[in-house]
Amino acid sequence: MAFRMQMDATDAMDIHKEPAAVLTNYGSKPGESSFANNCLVARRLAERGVRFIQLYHWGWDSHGSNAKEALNLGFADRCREVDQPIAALLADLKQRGMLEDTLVVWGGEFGRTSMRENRFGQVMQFVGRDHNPGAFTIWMAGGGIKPGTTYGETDAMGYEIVKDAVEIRDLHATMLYVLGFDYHKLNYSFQGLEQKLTSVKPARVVAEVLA
Amino acid sequence: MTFSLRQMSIRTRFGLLALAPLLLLVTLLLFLPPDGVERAEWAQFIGRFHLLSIHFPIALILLVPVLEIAGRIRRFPDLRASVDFSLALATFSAIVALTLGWCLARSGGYSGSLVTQHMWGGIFVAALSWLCWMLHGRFLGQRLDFIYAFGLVVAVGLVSWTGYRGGQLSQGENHLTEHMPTVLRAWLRLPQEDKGPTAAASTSFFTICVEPVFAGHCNSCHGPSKQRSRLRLDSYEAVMRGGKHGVIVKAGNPQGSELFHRVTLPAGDDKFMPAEGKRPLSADEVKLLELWIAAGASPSLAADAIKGAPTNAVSTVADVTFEEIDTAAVEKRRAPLASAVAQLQKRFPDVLEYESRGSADLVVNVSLMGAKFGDKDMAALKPLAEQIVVADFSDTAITDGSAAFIAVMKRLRVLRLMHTQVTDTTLHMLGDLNQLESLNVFGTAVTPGALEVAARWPKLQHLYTGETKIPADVQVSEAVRGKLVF
Repeated sequence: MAFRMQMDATDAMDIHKEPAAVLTNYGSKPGESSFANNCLVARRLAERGVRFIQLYHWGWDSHGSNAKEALNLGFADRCREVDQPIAALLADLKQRGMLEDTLVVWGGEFGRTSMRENRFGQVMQFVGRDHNPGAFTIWMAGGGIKPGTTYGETDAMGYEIVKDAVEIRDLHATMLYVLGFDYHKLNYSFQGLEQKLTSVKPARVVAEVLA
Repeated sequence: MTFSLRQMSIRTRFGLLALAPLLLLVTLLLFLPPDGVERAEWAQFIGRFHLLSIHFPIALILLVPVLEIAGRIRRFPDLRASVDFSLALATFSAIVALTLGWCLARSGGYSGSLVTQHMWGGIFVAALSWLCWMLHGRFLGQRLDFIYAFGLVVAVGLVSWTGYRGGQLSQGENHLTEHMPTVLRAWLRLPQEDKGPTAAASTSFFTICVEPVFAGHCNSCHGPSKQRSRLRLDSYEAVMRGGKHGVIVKAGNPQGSELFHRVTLPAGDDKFMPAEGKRPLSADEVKLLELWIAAGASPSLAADAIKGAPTNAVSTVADVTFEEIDTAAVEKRRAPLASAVAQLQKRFPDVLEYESRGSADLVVNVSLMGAKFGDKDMAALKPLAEQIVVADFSDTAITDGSAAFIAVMKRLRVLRLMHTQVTDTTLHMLGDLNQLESLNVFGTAVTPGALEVAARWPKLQHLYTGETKIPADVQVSEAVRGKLVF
């Protein structure tokens, strides 16, 4: 099995085998370490039946305390780094019919304020924004999700939720549902509690976003 | 005078035996009354048999005066001998029915004066039945015998009244008079029946905008079947009447109205409604309630009289429910296939699975076998062909030589032939797969000539034709056009 994994994994990771047009779509340069290459590898892994693939991209803590964290500099670069490959990945999955049974989830662990962060009341050199746990956006595509739907609303400031709040546990319940799990049943006994992925509070599947 | 069990008659012994559960029931009623909280399901299940068993004691109690009266007619002197037995049976069956009734009331979420009256009525009926049983014949020919007769009359009256209250509980408060003809109503001087809510006009803001909110979110707990906290929200009158905690709507004052307060609490609050993680009201729905209360909580105010009301506010999306999987039934459906499935799983590891835990349908995915799977292997799938609903032959060595084997998979919903040698010939042979929803021929040599067959698949949603000989601007019918994915 170790042999098979090593042989198959190297093949899956070898994006040299992709045609030039595909590499261009992703903005991918083989040999480089980039989110674009990761996206392409993700598609190749999914094609080979890999069930869970996590792509990680970092450098989004855009407080504005230095150029890398500035909205108009580092943050803009981060956006460029992910925008094209994500579009290419979704287009690729759709074209190959894989979006029918693949769920793509994009998100972070919190949002950011819509107003500028100025620490200690001082105007900072670079423009950035602080953490905002009160409201943020996550999108999903593919398996069982209704395309073109937006759900939930913040106030005009983007600070707090005013309509159709989705708790993290609701998101998890929804993801589990489209993966075919009953989140009430998917639990394990630990420390005297039936631990659930949706925590102890009542969760709900956001039926409004289901196809 | 000494009492000993042996000297007692059989009747007295059984009478004392019946007294114990009767007293126990009184205690239960006093200390564990129905309080509107739903409890164990099995108790509710057993409790429902109250509705069945209750008719037995009723009939017996009504039978006793019939026996007593008919027995005085010279032709049926034997009838009176049955009275004692009937009363004993009535008492014991009443105790059984009472116990079931208490189970139902205590666990079924009942509360309020109606159920309380019904229960005490039941207790007194059983007690009277017991008393009559004990007194029957004891003072025969004495003046005190009138107590027995009087007890019987009261028992008959009480059983009728209690039964009527029970009917109101299960069938609705006006279950007897609901369909009374107008003439009779007038003669009895009953109020003329009002169809539907008295006050709420059908074109009113209440009926059009507010009631659907209650129907969608509230009535499963505050409606005809359950009245949590003695509150119903299924008619204008019920909404205005309020519940255990009093009036919930203060006309003109949304902020001061319990109804509005409860739905606008922070979602985690214990008093937030709808409770127990049920879908909360949308902001638009909350707005509708607020506007309605602010405008005076009127039953008749026209729907268009309130300006700025959100339209189409009521969510039409039903909550997701999870069905219990009956594993035994699934096993049964899988049994005929089991040996063929096991055989195939042995020959091709990891390619054949049931579609889900609750299904006997099969999913085949041989794409991971790549070139190791070819036309010669297709015959192996034949015994299970009609159970296969999803099949993925992508990246395998199959050619048009496999088409005949795929064509017999009559229930296929999803078919993937990505990166294979199949051509138009295969597609033309699949025209009868009328369950097909998704077909993938990405990266094959399929040409526009194959598209005419697409019109024969009534359920088709997607036909993946990227990297084939079909150009993106291919000339096809509108119906097919929308399904092509390039």
